[in-house]
Parts: sequence; structure tokens; C-alpha cells
Amino acid sequence: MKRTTAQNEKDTGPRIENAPMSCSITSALRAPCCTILESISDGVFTIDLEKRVTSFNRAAEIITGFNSSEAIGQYCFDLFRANICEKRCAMDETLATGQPKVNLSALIISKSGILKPISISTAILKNEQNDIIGGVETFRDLSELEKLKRQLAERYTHEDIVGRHPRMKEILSFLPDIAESESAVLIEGPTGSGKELIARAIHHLSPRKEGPFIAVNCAALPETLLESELFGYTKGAFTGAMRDKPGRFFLADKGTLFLDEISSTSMTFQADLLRVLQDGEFTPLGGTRTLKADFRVITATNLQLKKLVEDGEFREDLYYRLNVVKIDLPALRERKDDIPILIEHFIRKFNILKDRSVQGVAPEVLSFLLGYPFPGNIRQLENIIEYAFITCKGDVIGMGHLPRDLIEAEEDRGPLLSANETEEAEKIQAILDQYPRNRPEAAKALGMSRTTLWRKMKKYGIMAP
Amino acid sequence: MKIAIPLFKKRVSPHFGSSSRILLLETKGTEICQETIWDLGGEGPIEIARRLVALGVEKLICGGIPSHYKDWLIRKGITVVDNQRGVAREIVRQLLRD
Repeated sequence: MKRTTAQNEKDTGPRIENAPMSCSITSALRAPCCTILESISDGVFTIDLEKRVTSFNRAAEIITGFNSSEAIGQYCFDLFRANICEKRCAMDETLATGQPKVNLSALIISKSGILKPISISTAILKNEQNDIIGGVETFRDLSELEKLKRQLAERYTHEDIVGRHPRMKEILSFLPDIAESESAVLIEGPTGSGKELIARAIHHLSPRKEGPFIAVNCAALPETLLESELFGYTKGAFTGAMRDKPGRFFLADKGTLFLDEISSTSMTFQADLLRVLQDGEFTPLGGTRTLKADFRVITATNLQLKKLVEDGEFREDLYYRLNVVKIDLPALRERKDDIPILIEHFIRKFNILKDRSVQGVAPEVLSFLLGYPFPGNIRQLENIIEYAFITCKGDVIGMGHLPRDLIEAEEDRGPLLSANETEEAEKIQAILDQYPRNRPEAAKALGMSRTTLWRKMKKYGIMAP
Repeated sequence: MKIAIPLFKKRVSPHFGSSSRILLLETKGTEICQETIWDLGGEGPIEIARRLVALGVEKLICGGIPSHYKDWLIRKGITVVDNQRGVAREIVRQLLRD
């Protein structure tokens, strides 16, 4: 692990005679050995009084993307690239006051352009004569932790959208433009493809980001309840209306209203919604006063809204009002290249959530998942990995850790689903998502018996939500 | 050509979006013919990127820049020369010579 350079030898003075040589941090810290520093997951680097890097451990290389030979001798800010380097440099304060800084939050930009949240701690370095010879900075990558926090707070940004497929990259590159405009957005994509994630990312990139993001799943509520949820009601409007309740239109004022599964709404509701979108005004149920709200509307559907318009099941005028900007999200089977990075993403997520250290999936599992059609898309892949975290007690997820019905369905199904079968599988998954705890209702909506539904779920490897 | 360089004192800012000043240069051939400083007032990276497009900047020279902002600027027709470090004017002169 020899990484000493002329630079750090010059800056750190004569070495302790006969001390075993190890890494560059050893020489900077003048410790006989610091194998530990090279093996820990926290980044560590040391600087001299000119702020030039004198050592850079392995984790620092991984987090920043710069290797130690690129780093040593350079100014720390040119490599560390934190948002606090210019105005609130932690090391400057430590060197000026002699006081350490602990767990400061910052954002760095890695060599490949990845924005990473980190926590920083700093301390001064002294020689045997007690002279300050520089500083040491340790930092921890909090990317996964911050992502989870954002997920819990439902404050997604486009950094949370995982995908390198050209279509996903194209969608992501358009998001700032879409966000900046005030136009209505229609997101079409199969169930589990991340429609709400995109909607939230648009909101958080938009000028309305300080306002509320109000999400309503139109399929989850019966029509009358949906009306009262959106419009609100006044006391006494109906039995049980004990007090005034503001609707989601009102709550979305100065923000974004996200209407998911818009295709499941009735023609009557569509007419009411159109009026609100045209005038920006609405009257709560039982009320006499018209209210105004200023919100941007984003809608989503797992069906093709245009086709529903052609079939007379969706109002054409509302379709054109909602479909100013359209985003088509691809199904996971159309972006198989993203499956390995999504697997890694979910493993990292569940490692943090469940305090585990799963390293990855076995090659046969990856091969199996690459060939699987994923009617439930990304959400289904996430469920599979979450299930495997329960059954897998070791470091690597094997075939035996995957849900049994998934494997059996694959064995029964044969090599590939036809286009019609894939469409049917997606439709079943979408309906099951709409009726998560009501299998008979789901079967009824699909126009099949419960037994047929069960058989088809088994055939397509669909797991109940 | 209109060139923009986020500054950290006289150096290229290492972090696009955290700089408080942006150097705007107008060049002709290998010569710098006009330069101004844009003092930022707390704008975020997306606002800065949008402003660069509005100003007609053709090339951005910077240190670290998040890839989604880089991709967006490229799509808007701006050439992004990232991962640069050093004194801003020296880097510009070097790039103009090359």
C-alpha cells in the first residue's frame, strides 16, 4: 500500500526512522501504520498549510472518483468540490481556530458529475514539536441515507430516478424545461414504472417547489368520495360532515396537484374537473361561495388516454387540457440495461433500512431477472429484492431466495410472453394495484372469475400487492 | 464566442452552483475582446443554467458540475468543458490557443 510521494515527504519533514512504510496517510500522520485508514469506508485526506493534499485514502478515491495520484499535491477544494469550499470551508475554520468541526453537512460533485451529500469532520495535524502542519478531513457518503430520507419525506428530485437507458436519460434531460413551464403534464406508463416519482421531481424542479405537492390516487376512492376529497365540503353538506373540510384543490394552492390513475374517473367527474381547470374556481360541496386556487396539474395513467378518448371513455376536451406536455415512461422490460443498476440501488436501500450488508445477486439470479418480463415493473423488482432480504441470510442473493411463485411461473411460462400476454399481465397488475386488498373486486374489474385471476397471476408470476 | 466561467476567487470554481461570481467573456479568434463579471444573488444551479442559456453563452468552463445540469446545457447547445482546475484566465487562454 505504498502511496507516498515527493510532495508529502517534503511537507511532512523527516520520517520516523525504522518505522514500517505503509500508505501515504501513515506518512502524513507520522503513525507507524495505518492499514485501518485504508480499509475504512469513510474518506480521509490530509492537507498541508497551503491546502494541498498530502494523502488520500481508498474510500476518498471511491467517494470523489479521483485516485490518489491525481489528488496528491492538488488543492483540496479542486478535488473535494464541495458546495461549502468557497464560503464556509470547514478546514479554514479549523486551521484558524484549532478547533475540530464534526459532522457538517455538504454536497460534493464527484469526478463523473454525481452530486453526493456527505458529512464532514475536520481536525488539525501537529508534528512532534506541537506545530500545526496541516489538517485532516474525514467524510462520509450519505447518498443512500439522504435518498431514503427524501423517499420518506416524499421529496424526490431527479437524482432519485435511477436509469441509464437512452429513453430515461432523454426524459430526465427534459425535466428542467418541463418543470419551468406552467403547462399541464400527462405521464403515461405501465404500473410501477415511476410516474409519481417523475411528477414529484417536476414539482421540486419547478418555481412552485416551495408550495405543496398534493397527490390523489383517483382509482383508490369511490366517485363521491373523490369529489369531496378534491372539492372539499362545508359543515352539514352531507351526513357525517361535522365541520368544514378544505379540498385538495384548495390545499394545492401555489403548488402542484398530482392526479394519479386519471383514466379511472367517471365522465361526470371529468366534466367537473374540466370546469375547475378552465376557471381555476370551484365550490366546496354544500357551499355557496366560490373559491379560487392557483395550482399546476400533473396527471398520470397506466392506460393510453388517447385510446380511451377514441373509445368514448374519456372526455376529449379534458384530454387536450391535460395533455399539453406528455411523458411516456417505458416498461422495465424495454429498459433491461437498467435492471442491474436498479438491483444495486434496491440492495443499497435495503442494506440501510434493514441494517444488512448484502453484496449483490448471484449470476444466475441476474440472468433470471434479465429474462423476466416484469409486468409490475420497477415496483415488482423492488418487491422481489425486499422479499429476498427476508429469505437470504448471507451476503449474496441466490435463486432459492427469490419468491417461489415467481420461479414456478417462469418454469410454467416457458421462455417468452407474447405481446398479448404481456399486455394482459400488465393489465392484471394495474388492476391489482387499484384493488390491493380486494381480489374479488379486481377479478370483477378484469371481467374474469377469481379462479381465472389466480391462475393468470400464477402464469405471469404476478405477486399480490 | 461567449464563454462563462464560474469563479472561486481567480480560479475556476470547483462546484457549479455554489459560486458567487461568474466570469463572462466574449472572444474573437484567440483574443478576449470583452469581459464582465456576473455577481450572483443566491440563484440555484438550475436558475444559473437557465440564465446562461438566456445570455447566449456558447461555452461553459467549469470544475465539477452535476451530470444532469451538464446534459441539459449540452442539449441547449452549450459546450461544457468540465473538470477544469486552475486560474480561470489561464485556462481560457490555453483553451483558445488549442
